[in-house]
Amino acid sequence: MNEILRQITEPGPECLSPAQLERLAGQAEGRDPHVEQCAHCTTEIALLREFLAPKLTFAETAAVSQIERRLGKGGPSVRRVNWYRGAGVAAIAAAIAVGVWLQNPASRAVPAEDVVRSVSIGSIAPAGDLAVVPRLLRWDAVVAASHYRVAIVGVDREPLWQGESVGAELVLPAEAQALMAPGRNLWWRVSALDGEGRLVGVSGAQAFRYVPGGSR
Amino acid sequence: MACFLDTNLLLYSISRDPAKSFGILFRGCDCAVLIHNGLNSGPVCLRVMTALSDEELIARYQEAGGRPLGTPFAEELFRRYYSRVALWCFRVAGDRDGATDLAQDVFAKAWSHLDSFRAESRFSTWLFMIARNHCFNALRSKARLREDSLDAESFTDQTGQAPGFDSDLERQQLLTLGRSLMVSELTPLESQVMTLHFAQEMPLSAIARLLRLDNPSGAKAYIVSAKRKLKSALSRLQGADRP
Ligand SMILES: [Zn+2]
Repeated sequence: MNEILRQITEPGPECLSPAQLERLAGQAEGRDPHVEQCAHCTTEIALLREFLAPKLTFAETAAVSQIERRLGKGGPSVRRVNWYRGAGVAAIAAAIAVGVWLQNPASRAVPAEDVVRSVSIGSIAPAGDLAVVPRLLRWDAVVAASHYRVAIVGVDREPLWQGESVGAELVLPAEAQALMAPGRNLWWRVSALDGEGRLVGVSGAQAFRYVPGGSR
Repeated sequence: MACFLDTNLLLYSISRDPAKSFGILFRGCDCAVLIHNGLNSGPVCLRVMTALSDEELIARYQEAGGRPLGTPFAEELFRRYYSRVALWCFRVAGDRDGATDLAQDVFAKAWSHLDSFRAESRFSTWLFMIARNHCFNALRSKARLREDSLDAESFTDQTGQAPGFDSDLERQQLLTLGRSLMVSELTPLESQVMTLHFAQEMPLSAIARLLRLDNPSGAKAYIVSAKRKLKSALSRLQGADRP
């Protein structure tokens, strides 16, 4: 029975394209001979309408505001940090000069208002072309840090794996090592957090890749 | 107007090497300069940016060669949809953390495909499709369906007997008939609940949130009622078929 219901409700070859759905969603009465006979397209139009002009409940409003704030702080491409008022030009220039990598997209648990002046974490390894799949990541310890958060990201900067460590190194589990296909360009970076979860240090994004049989 | 360096300065990291590429944005005067490998974008005025349509922002983004110099246009574009994507993901996930994860994934996917956006539909529809597909796939892969779906047995219990699709109806005929009954016999909401549950394998709880069902028994009541209607319509048709 459920299998039959699945086949009855799933999209067929005549179902509408996004552009056609959009046109009908914009009309008060979405009249179309196919849609009038298709549960799938009717549902898609209803969902699209609700996405474009949603009606929120009170509980949803609060949740959406919070999620929206988190997105604003840790968007997928743009990382931003609100600096303390009064931060001098010199301090800002210095931060730029050392190439501070701003807030880790994976660290959205760190509220931006809690971000304190952070230091750049140096000497992170491994880097570059590696003859073997790395097992250990290491970096310079940050005095104020209580723990560290490590992220491995791909070319689209989508975090592929994240891990945490209390010390200035992290042993990679098999699932992280499995990401390192031969020749695949990857980056990793580390954020240092203090006991209250505030960002106190960030590294640059370190490029690396596994190149079997040869290293730089 | 003077720019205040100490007012809510935002630094944009616009490439993988932030020492080479960065932007400085001054909220005091709503302008930004982006620097990439020693080249700069010239001032980008954010006030003007907010007046641009979605499609104009994408055009500027693509004219700037995508990332990194087009980043502010894309960011303005995505920011317009934060609340809609957040709500969609919240309705799918049912909690704020799960929704944040989903929403971040949605924007990451949109980012990675923005260069190839071809304006075949509006940006809003394109983003909806990404959100929809990503969230439905995430739900499926979590196999949450098993946790709160109606299985065939529970349906049999509630309706007293197994669904009456007759094996002597040809399969294709049955499907064609079923599709038309979905529309002719069911209310629009019943038909939508059935589609989301059976074709998209969505858990009932997520369906109730997505379709804003506020009856106490949520989506389950719609499925029970829809199945009963379908079964009775089929029985009617089969009875009419028999001599
Ligand atoms: Zn259709």
